[in-house]
Amino acid sequence: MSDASGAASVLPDAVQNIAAVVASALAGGGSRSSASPGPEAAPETAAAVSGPLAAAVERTPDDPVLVAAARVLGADVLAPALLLGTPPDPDDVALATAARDAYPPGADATAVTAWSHWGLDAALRTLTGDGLPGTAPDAGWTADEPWPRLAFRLSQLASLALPGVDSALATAAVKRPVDLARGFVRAVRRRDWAQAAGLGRWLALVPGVPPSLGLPNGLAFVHHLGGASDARVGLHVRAARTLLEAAP
Amino acid sequence: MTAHPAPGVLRAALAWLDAHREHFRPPPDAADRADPNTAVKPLGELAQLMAAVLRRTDPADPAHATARGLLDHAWAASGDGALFHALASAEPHASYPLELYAGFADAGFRHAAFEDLARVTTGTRSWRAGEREPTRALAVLRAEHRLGLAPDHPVAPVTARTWLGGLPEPWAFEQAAGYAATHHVFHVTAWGARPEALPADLAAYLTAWLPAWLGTCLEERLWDLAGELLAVAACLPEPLHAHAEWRAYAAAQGPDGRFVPHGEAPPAPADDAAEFRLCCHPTLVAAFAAALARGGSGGEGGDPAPRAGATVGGAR
Amino acid sequence: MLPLNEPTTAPVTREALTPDVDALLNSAEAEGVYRDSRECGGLLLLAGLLLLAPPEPKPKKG
Repeated sequence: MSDASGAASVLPDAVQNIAAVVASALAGGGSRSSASPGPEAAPETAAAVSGPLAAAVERTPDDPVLVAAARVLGADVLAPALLLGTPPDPDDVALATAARDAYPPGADATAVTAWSHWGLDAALRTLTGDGLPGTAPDAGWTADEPWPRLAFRLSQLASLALPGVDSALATAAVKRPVDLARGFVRAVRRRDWAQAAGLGRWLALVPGVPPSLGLPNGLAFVHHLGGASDARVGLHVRAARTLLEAAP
Repeated sequence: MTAHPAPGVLRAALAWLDAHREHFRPPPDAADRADPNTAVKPLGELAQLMAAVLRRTDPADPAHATARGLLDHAWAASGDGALFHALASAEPHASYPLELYAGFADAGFRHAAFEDLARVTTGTRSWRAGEREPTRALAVLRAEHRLGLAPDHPVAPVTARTWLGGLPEPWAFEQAAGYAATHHVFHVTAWGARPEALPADLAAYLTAWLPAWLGTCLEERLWDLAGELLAVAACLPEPLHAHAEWRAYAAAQGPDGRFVPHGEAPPAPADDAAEFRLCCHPTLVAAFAAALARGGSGGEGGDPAPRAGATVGGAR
Repeated sequence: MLPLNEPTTAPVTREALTPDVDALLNSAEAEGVYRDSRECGGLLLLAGLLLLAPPEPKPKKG
C-alpha cells in the first residue's frame, strides 16, 4: 500500500518530465522553423535535445518509474524519431521495448490501454524493422461512438497520430474529421487543454478538417493556455505543428 | 425510435405562456420612465416569436389557436399599437420601438401614425450613423426592411461585420458570441421563414459547428442559449434534426411548461412576477424552437433517420 | 525539471506501478470549466460617463 501511494505521486511527475524532454526535442528538431520560434514560449525548461531520455530526466535506464512513465507515453517516447525522421537513440529504443514488455495489456484491457500498447509496439517495429505485427485491438467502437466520446477517446490515444504508423484507429479518424474537430471545439470551451491538444494532433494528421476551424491558431491558443501546466499539451502541439509542416 | 420531443415542448411552453399572458401587459408608465427591458421587451418578443409559431403550425393544431390568441392579446395590450407610437414620440432616436413593432408587423398588425413617424426618424443621417453593435445594426435594418423602409440599404455589408459574419474560429465560442450568432441567423432568415436567405458558406459553417456549440450548452445547462441554437438548427437550409439534443433539452422543461435560463430544471410550478421575468424569454424561445423543429421534421413523431454527422449525441 | 530523487528506501516495483499506469492511461474526462469574457467599458467612454454623472449633493446652506 505504501508502495502504491508512493508510486502514485512519482509517476505523474515522471510522465511530465519525459513529455517535456520529448516536446523540447520536437521543438529543437524542427530546425526549419527555428529562425522564427513563434509567439509561444516553450513552457518546459531547456533540455538536451540529443541523448537518451533516461539521462535527460536523471534516471537509470532500468528505473521502474522510468519504464512505467514510458509505457504511459507509449509511442511518444519515440516521437522525435518518428516525426522528424532522425535515428532513434538506442537507449530510447531499449526503454520503449522494456515499457512494451513490462506492461502487456490483459484480456480485459480497455481500448485505450490496448491501443496505446499496440502503438508502442508498432512504433518500435517501424523504427527497428524487428518483430512481427501484433494483432490489432478492436476498433469497431469508433464507428458508433457519439462524437464527444469518440473525440475524448482518440485524444487519449493521440500518440498514435503518427505518419507512417497506419492503424484501424487512424483509419477511423480519417473517417470522422468533422466529429474530431467538433471535439476540439468542445474541449476548448471546457478548457480541457489536454483533450484539445490531443485532438489538435489528430486534426493535423487527417484530411477533411474544415478550414474554418482555424487549427494553427487553435493549437497556439491551446499551447498558451494549457502548456504551462501540462507538458503533454506541449508535446501534442509540437507534434501537430510538425505534422502540419510536413503536410503537402 | 421515440417520438420527437418538440411537439410536447411546444404544447407545454404555450400553455405556460398563455397562463401568464397578463404578465406581458406593459405597466401604465411603459412609455414614460419605465425600464423598456422589463416593461415592453417581453411584449415585443411575444409578438415576434408567436408570429413565427403561427407561421409554422397547422391551422387545425391547437398550438396555432393558442399562438393566435397570444398575438391578439399582445396587440390589444399595446393599445392596438399606440404604445409604440408613444414610445417613439418619447424617444424618437431610439431604435427599440421600431424593433419591437416589427415583430407585430410580421404578424400583420400595423399602426399608421407610428410608421409615419418612423419614416421621418429613419430617414435622417443621424439614424444611419447611429453607433450600434453589428448584430444590433442588423436587427434594426431588418426591422426597417419589414416596414418597407431603407430599401436601398442592403444587409450584406451589415452581416459581414457581425461575429458570425466573420466566420470566426468556432472554438472561440462563448455565450455572448453565441447570442450574436443566433440572432444573426434569425434576422437573416426572417425568424426561420426564409432559410434559403442564409448564404451557402454560412450554412456549411453552421452545419459543421452548431452541434459542438449546442452540445456544450446542454452540458453547461444553458437552456436559453441551447433553445436558440436548436432554433438555428431548424433555420438551416438543410435542418439538423438533433434528436438526442432535443431529448436533453426537453428534460429541462418544468412541470408547468416553463424553462429557466440555466441550471436545474424547475421542480414545481411558480407563479410570481420574478419567476415570470426569469422564465419568459427561455420559454418563448422553447416554443419558437419547437415550432420550427416540428415544421422541419415533418410533423409530430416524424423524425427522419439522422444523417451521419448531422447529430450531436452524447449530450447529458 | 522536477527533482527526481525520491526516497529509495522502498524501491518501486513494476507490480506496484501497474495500477498507476492503468489510471494514467484511462483517466476520466475532466469536468468542464466554463468561463465567459467580461468587458470593461471603453476608457474614454467611462470617463465621459463620470463627467456626466450628477455632482455630489452639496449640503444646503442654512
